Amino acid sequence: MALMILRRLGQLVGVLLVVTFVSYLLLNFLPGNTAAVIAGPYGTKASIAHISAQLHLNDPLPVRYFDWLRQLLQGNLGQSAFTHQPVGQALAQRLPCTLELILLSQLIALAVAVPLGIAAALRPGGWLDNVASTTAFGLLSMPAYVLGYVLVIIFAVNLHLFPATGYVPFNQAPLTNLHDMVLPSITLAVGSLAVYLRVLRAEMIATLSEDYITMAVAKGMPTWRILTRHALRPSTIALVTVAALNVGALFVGAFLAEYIFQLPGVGSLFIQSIESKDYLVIQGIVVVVAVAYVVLNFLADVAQPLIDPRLRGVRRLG
Amino acid sequence: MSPRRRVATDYPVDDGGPLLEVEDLTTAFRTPRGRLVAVDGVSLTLQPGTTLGVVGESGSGKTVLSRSIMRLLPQKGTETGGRVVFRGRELTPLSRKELRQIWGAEMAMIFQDPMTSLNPTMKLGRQITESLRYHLDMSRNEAREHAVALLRSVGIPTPERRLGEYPHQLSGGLRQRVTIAIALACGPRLLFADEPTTALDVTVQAQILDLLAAQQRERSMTMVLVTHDLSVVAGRTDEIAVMYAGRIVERAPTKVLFSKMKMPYTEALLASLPRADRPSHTPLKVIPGRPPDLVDPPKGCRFAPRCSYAQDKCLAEDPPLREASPGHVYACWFPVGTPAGRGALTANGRAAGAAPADPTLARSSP
Amino acid sequence: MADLVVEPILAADEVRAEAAGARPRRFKLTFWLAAGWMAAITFVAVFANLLPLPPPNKPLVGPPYSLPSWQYPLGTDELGRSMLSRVVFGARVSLEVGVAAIVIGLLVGGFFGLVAGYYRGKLDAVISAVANVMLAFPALIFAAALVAFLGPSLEVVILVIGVLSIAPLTRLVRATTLTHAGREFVLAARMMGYSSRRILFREVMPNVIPSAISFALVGMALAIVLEGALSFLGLSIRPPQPSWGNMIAEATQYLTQDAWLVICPSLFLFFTVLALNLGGDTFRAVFDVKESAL
Repeated sequence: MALMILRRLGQLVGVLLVVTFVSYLLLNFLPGNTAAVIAGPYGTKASIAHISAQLHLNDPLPVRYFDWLRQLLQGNLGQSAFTHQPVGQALAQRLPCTLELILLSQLIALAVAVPLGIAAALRPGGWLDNVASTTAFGLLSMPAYVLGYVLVIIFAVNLHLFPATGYVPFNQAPLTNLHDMVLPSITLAVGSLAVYLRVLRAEMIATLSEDYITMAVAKGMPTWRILTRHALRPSTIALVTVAALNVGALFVGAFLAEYIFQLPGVGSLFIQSIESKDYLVIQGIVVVVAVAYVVLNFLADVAQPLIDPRLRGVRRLG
Repeated sequence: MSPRRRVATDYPVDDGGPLLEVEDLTTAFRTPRGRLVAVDGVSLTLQPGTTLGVVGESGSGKTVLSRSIMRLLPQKGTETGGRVVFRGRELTPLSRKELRQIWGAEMAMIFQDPMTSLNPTMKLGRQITESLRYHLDMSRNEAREHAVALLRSVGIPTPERRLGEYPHQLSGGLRQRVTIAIALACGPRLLFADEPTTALDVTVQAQILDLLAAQQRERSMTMVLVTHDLSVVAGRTDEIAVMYAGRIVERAPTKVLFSKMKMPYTEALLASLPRADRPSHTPLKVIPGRPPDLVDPPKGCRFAPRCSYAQDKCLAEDPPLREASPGHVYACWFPVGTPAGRGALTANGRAAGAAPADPTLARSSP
Repeated sequence: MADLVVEPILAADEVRAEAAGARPRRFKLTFWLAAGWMAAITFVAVFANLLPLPPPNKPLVGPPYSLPSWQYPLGTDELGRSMLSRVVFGARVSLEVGVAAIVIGLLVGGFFGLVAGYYRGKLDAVISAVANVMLAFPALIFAAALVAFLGPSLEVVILVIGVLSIAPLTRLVRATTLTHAGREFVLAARMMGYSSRRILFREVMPNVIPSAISFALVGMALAIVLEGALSFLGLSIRPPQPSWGNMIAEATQYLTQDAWLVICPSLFLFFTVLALNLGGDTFRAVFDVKESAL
């Protein structure tokens, strides 16, 4: 088991290297004089030269890359051409908001998907199952930038229940913060919810048809206990994999939600930077997101044996 | 959790009467193609401490029968009829909640494939102690000790260690032993063993069957052994019921069945067993054809289309269950070993131009 | 209380056999509705120029903020432009991107997937590694970054989305190929001495195609959503040229005045994506492609 993790770690490092390299290459796509473009419309000759030196733009590619990587590992992602704030710092400032959004949305998604999935699996083809599955399918077809505004139209503009924009940090005013986060979290939760519901329902149905569930029934175990203790765990194995794969879509949705609801998170920074052509910020965020995705998937992989004992590798045949 | 130990007042006094009485039990499923009658009017009686073998091909309804008796059927799309009386108490009108008191504690079942009847994500110990704690209200430690003793009694080495292991860490034979331990944990009076050895290696099969027999003796338990393989029930049952197309077509004490069988189907089943005393490369006598469609069964005797004794009467009229001797019933118009039967066989033999079936095959016991 | 005793009880073989006979109806009504919608949208988009519609960018075709009426079927926007025209030309953009991206994805990704899944070994390792790296970048983020760096235009968008759809399709086709290439009939063909290439194209590919189509339909939906997101962020076709995404983006300013301006393109986007998803799903159900082929 330990050997397996080590091997996976090796793979992880390899993938991370390639991923960071590809992110680095982005800069090379800039047409024209890279330093000038990065410096932006307000760049002076001095700043251009400074950037040029900083990024070693005159050196060969591998040198540039490794220097950039070294800087990256030290937390130095460059400076915003706009605000002159270090990119790393800007990200750190904005991260809590994004993380809170993601966390809340996943909580909502699971809180709805798990009970619904179980209930739907109990009577496949029943009315609850049909309604839930159809709704999930429909929701999957609704992108965040559509759903977000639909929610705003209904709940903010018409019903005045929740605000369309606005954000207060959690430690300052927890209740207001949560209130403001309702609509964005729901917008983000919906995509994950649909996916989790579908997977959980399918897995539950498959699990419930296994012999060991009938065996549990034949032991006289109550239904509730069978559902939670016997059936849930085997059904969540696939869920973890799917959740990990879903992280990419989650980032995308979070970024869009932040933009729609004007939350001060990493996503809105990203979008602003795109509009203002703040290239180093863009690159910085791309790297961070990609690395996060790879690491999360790695963690999900490692977590698999924790949930499914069959994957634990030690076999003692009696 | 209130104690759920077996309450004596739930049952009438054990007066030496039968443990189980099944009267005209019928189970039908509503399928897209129509109403499928899997168990069609089965009746039997079980005395305590005996072993009943239920034998039949796939599709004979033997599995559905054991589940019907235990009332372990899906509620949607299932119709049941008849009565099941267990220790003097009628099971038919009981609710699921009430049945849960019986399942595991009074009646238990072991399934065919130990690979799939154990939860792969749950430790073995938990799977055993669960019912101990639920039905017998044991504490965690009590249950644990009990579980270790159980595992030991089914012949599993180092039982303490096994408690913390998962099913995939054991071989097939050991897994089936664990399944048996789980089923027997709360000391049920009646055990249904549904093809307990079919998924196991031949070498292990005998061990498991011996284990079951030993446990039964020790616990004075009653057992129903369901299988398609006559050799499994040969020396291990007191009585055998042969099922075909949802009905019992012959029932007799074991020795009587093997020596004086009346139903041609039983004869054919016996004849299809591979025999060690025959020369090698003797072709296996398989029963030609397939079991009938249970949604729309044929008129008359259901085995007739495949029976080498069949006459016109068989195709038109359904033979009733008749008694040949006390404890031996069968349903056939032209039974084996009777003048009518022999006549039917030769008549068919002449008609088909083939030699009549070898009469010596059916006579010797396996 | 709920009923946990399900299928396995019915696994008494006689019943299982019966139940297996009743397969789902081939193509349901919802599928035909979806197909109809797609056909209509495609037709309208392709022949947009020939249709009797006012030019999409011409202001004051009618009074601004008009609600849908007989004269202006989908109403007018804040500048009095015909929503119907704009939506139709927006459809053109979405479909162009969707189809082009998927074609690129299928041709390139499908090819690599087939090769990787069939030949296995080092080739597979390399292709899979590259695909996994590409998949590490969440689509919109990478697409947005690339487009930002390369300069927004429709061609760039098509290229970027096309390239981004290669990796998922490679993975999916590879998985399907793996399942099929392991089957007995392939082994048999190999033993009979057929060349790998022949087996690949004659035996394996025809089995992979239904799943490829199913993925392609869903992929097209995703491509359209992605393009919508990009134009929403101002990274695709620039206003005044309409695309569903930038129509939504622009209309959010007037949300309180006329929500229809947001809802209209949203509906079209939603129905198109839904239709494609339904198509892909139906294909999967009919040809029995396992969802777990990921």
